[in-house]
Amino acid sequence: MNNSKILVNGKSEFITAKNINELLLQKGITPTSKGIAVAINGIVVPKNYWESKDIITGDQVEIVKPFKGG
Amino acid sequence: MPDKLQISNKFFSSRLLIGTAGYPNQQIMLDSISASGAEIVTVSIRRISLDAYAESMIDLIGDKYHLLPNTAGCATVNDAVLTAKLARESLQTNWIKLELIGDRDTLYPDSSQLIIAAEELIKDGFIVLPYCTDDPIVCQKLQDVGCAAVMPLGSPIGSGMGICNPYNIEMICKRSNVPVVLDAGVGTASDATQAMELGCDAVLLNSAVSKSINPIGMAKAMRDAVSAGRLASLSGRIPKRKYAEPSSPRLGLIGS
Repeated sequence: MNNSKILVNGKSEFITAKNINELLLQKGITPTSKGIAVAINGIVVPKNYWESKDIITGDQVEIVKPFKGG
Repeated sequence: MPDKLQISNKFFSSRLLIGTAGYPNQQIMLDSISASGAEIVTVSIRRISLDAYAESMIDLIGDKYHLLPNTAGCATVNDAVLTAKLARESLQTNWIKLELIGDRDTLYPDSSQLIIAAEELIKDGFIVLPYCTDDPIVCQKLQDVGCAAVMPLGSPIGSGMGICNPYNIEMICKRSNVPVVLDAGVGTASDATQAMELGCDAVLLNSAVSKSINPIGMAKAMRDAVSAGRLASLSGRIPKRKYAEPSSPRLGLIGS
């Protein structure tokens, strides 16, 4: 199994996930849950591309959702 | 015709916008928002915790209110623009409360960068509501680049110092062709009333309610304060005079 070294929410780690869907599942996040948004290398990846968008070494992944705020 | 707040193409009955941060607990937050009568409720967009589950704001309040995501804490144009785009994807809204701070101590907006970010987001189809300084020129420039409203601070975020420069807020309101929302600094109900009396179209607040001793009570007070201020503003205050002006008639006074 290939490992890719990427940054997930600012944390460097090796992952085996090939795409965003797999990455979310490995992180215990249900991809279909409301409010999750993902960007790779500063570009937002719409939900319908989460299965097709490959994750490769060096990618910077941001996974966000709404929180309390003013 | 009911007195509605219009921002972009949407109409709202309430002129109070409220935040979701800092309440003692979730139930008090929900009850306070409800008591405030607000229809627009702000949320932040943050990295998801990969260690612990947190309840989704969308599941909690998404179906009841118009959620307005913010870019709170962003200090660069790139971060603010990316956060806005993530917010659009997350909440399926093109509305954004644009915050771009220049300093962590004062949380004052970085005006030059704010205008650049606003312009970029507007070109990308966003409805931008910028949190800005109480500077009439900055507000004018934000309006010129196409912001749907301007949201000048009364005083620093969370300070509760009220409106430090009422003359500027009044001037901004008089000159503005877009709604003016007083954002930040409100400490108690009279501050919210004053904002509306100065001509603001709405008030956005958070800490004044969430950090009060009784948030639900303060939320009701803010609801009424905003309504009272709006009505007073529309009704027109009497001019200030240096000397007394009797309200009872002078004619027929005993002893005259």
